[in-house]
Amino acid sequence: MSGGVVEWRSGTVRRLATGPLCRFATAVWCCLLVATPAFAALELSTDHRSLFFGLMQPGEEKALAQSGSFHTEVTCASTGGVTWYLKISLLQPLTSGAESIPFENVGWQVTRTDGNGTVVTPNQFQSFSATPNLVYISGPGEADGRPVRIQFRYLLKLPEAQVSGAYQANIRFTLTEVL
Amino acid sequence: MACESGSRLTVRLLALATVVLWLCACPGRVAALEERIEDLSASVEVASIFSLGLSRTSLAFNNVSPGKTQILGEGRGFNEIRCRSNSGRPWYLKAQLVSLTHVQGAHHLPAASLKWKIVDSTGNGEPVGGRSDFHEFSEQPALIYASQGDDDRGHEVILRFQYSLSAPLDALAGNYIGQIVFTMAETP
Repeated sequence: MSGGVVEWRSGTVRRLATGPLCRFATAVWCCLLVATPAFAALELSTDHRSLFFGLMQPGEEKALAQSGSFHTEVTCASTGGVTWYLKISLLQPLTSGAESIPFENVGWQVTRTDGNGTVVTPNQFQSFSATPNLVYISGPGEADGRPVRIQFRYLLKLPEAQVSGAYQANIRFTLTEVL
Repeated sequence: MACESGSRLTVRLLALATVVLWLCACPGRVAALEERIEDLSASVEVASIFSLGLSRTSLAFNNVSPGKTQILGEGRGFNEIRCRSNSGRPWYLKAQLVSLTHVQGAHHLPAASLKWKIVDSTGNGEPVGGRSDFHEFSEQPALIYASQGDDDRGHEVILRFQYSLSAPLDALAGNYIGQIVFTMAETP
């Protein structure tokens, strides 16, 4: 009797192990493995310091952070295993009602990074634009989760002819695997 | 044999359908994970400017004979007024002659004895009455220039003036002193 039970159980296991249900489960699992995209664990953070230029006279020029120092620190990390890119943009010109300050009057500069990648325009201010500008290209080994810090300072040159008022805008940092 | 083959086909179809359903269910997840975004706000307060400056604040006409006219600033002008506003609202420049009074008495020269002319301007507007003729001062503030175009966006407007004094035939001899007041305002 007990031998028959064992034999029945063995047969059931054998049937389960080689039957259509098992083959289906195995096939689905394999397909999911193949079809699953390589999720890149991208992480981007800032120190959330807004760009407050304060009160300025028309024609005046002001930098946020002196040369060699920084105003914003951005931290990037990726475990995607592929090259990543940091970009920066000004979503719209600094605007007050119907008035605006041209894009070319607002600049950014990378002052320092602890990464081994490429700072695209080192040691010089670049004008903002609505189109994301490439800031940094990750280097070897920087897609293994290691954080890379990139520090920024900013410059605003008010035109001589600029209507008074409170101007506002948003800058955007984008961490992406697409160039 | 045929049964086993059919079973394999069923399995493959089920697997394919599962993958298709899975991919359809999470396309946003696939795309969203390719980039991260952080926004920071930027702001500046552009200061208000509303200024009026005058060079050479003393007009001295010397020895004007009754019935004669003397001009200050022939050629490029005698003095200049610099107006600047970035309010974005129109502004107006007005002038008035408070008095031209004999220093030893109550005798006055009429305000119309003294005239102004704008010979040059960096503004977008035109002086009231044009640039070719002299215009009489008034005892009440009178408009001489109204901003136009970018004049109210912070551009400095420089107006260069000539002055003329015509002494009436019946003017008493002596020194006369007066005061010209220029006013820049956002009301006409």
